[in-house]
Amino acid sequence: MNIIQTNNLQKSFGKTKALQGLNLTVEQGQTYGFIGPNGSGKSTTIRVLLGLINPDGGTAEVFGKNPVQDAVEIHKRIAYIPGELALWPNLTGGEVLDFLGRLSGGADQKRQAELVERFQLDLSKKCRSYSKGNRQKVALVAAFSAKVELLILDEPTSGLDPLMELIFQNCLREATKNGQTVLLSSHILSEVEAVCDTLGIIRQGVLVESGKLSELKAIPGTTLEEIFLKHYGEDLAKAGERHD
Amino acid sequence: MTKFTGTLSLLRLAIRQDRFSLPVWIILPCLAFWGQVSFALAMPDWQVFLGELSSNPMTTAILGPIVPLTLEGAIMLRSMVQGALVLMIAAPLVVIRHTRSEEASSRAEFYLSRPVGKYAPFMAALILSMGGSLIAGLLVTILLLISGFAVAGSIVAGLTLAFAGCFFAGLALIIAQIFTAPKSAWIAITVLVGSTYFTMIMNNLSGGFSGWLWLAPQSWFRGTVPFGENAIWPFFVFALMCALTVFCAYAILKNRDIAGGLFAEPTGRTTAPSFLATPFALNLWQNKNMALAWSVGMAFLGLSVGAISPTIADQMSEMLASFASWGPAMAKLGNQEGLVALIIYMLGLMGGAILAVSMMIGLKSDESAGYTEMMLAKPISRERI
Repeated sequence: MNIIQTNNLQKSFGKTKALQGLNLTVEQGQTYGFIGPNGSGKSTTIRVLLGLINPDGGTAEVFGKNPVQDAVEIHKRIAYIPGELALWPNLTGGEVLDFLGRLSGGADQKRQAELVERFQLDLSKKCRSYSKGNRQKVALVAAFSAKVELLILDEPTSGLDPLMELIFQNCLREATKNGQTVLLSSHILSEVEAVCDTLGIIRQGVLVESGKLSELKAIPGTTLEEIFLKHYGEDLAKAGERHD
Repeated sequence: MTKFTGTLSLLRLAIRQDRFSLPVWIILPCLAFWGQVSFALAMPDWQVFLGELSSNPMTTAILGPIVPLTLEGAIMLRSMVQGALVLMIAAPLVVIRHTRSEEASSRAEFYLSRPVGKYAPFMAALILSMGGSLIAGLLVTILLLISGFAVAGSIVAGLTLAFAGCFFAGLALIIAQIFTAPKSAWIAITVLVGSTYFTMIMNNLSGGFSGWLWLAPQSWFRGTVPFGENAIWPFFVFALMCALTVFCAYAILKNRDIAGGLFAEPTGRTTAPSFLATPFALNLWQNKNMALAWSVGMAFLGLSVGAISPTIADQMSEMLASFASWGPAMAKLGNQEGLVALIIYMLGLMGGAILAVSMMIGLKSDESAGYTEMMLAKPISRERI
């Protein structure tokens, strides 16, 4: 069963064409690495999937439902980490976790406590005094402790230190093992390679490559970087950069 | 109605965030009334004072006639305007803080990804701002009742006040749909509140009950006349106006993207102007819209004062001379010029202070946002910022 399905998705902001016919399919149980540089349309795609913005053309379905019409229904089964994360400056980390949990009808308290421990998060601090990495941890704990089927993570590790990055990867593997489907938007190739089983590369609002990571790398000696540069080598050359 | 799912949770969040500011603005109108009531009750010869006040051309022109011409009417004259003004500023603040600001910061995106309906944040902000206005009105009613005034008049006064807040909450909801930047929304609200001063004065100059009245919520008591006619029908007009604002906001929200507005974010220049080289220039540059709006507003007020004062100044010279403290100063300045100078001085003080304070608040929030850090890393001393 397809958890996420978009057909010829289009969206413009003024003159900027963010999505130009995107076809994205994420199947149940997949950990899908959604790769592309800044401004390629990753976050716009995710916002359409969440029903936050209306597409100009094409269709999108999550759990076979319409993201705008059935937003609340769909969101009961989703946890999301925004790419540009902001928290309420005068609430503590603990208050934010409780609030988000209550919105979804209760988080897994045991799991939450365990995650707080693992990410070494101080819940008594106000969000305004958190560093970027610590704000990110609050969102990660909220997402991984939610009782949901689909995790949509938009560059979730920005600001995390290498140690926390490893803990994040472990949590993600546990999520996959528990049967959760993951859409991981990222521009860190090594991260995607470490945790994802399926891959999609987006360029100028179009999905230019997608498939199982194992199949894409089937040709001996092919690295993820080479697959990526197959589509972006041109842009690199235009910028006058060389790649060895 | 899944579109409203989560309204209560968001309302609780908003109350938690506003736990200090909420009681302040809800009680403030009550304090305005309390001040006027105790002032009036403490005055034994209030009838003489009232007679002088209402026969005075300036009071009737600027403050409007006293309706009804009783002790209660004299209390209403000032406290209704002050109380309504508090709500007309506070209710929009609440609405924009919990709708547009949340969207601009992407916090809205975060909670809307949970089972929360698209209209829930707006409903929560409306309940908080309109509910707060109603409670503020209720407190005023209770205060008036405790002070021993008539029941009907007390209720009409409180309700009239509450509707002024509700109407501006509705206007703020429309504004929050239009502008993507909270700051633009603030400026729009400031302009709206400022322009009600104009309609209020026009209404007062037209005898206190004219078409201008509906556009000046701080004068709405001239329609309902608490302790006088206690008219009910204006409430239907108020309610209709409030409903209309909410409906307009809903119509825009229905089809717009979250974090989007009616206008696309304007693009700017790709290089900085040459004078943008010091912290002071940066502060001015960042506040240029605010400073511009302030200058235009002040120029407009100055023009209106200039336009009306020659015609009324002659009538007022007697009255001005009777002010013990101002009299000598006025005489020195010459009455007409003196009046104009005084009004401009007071308006400038008010408007200028607001501008300066808001610029300093901007400075502080820059520091908490970490922008200041970026500047202090350059060869710049702390004092210069």
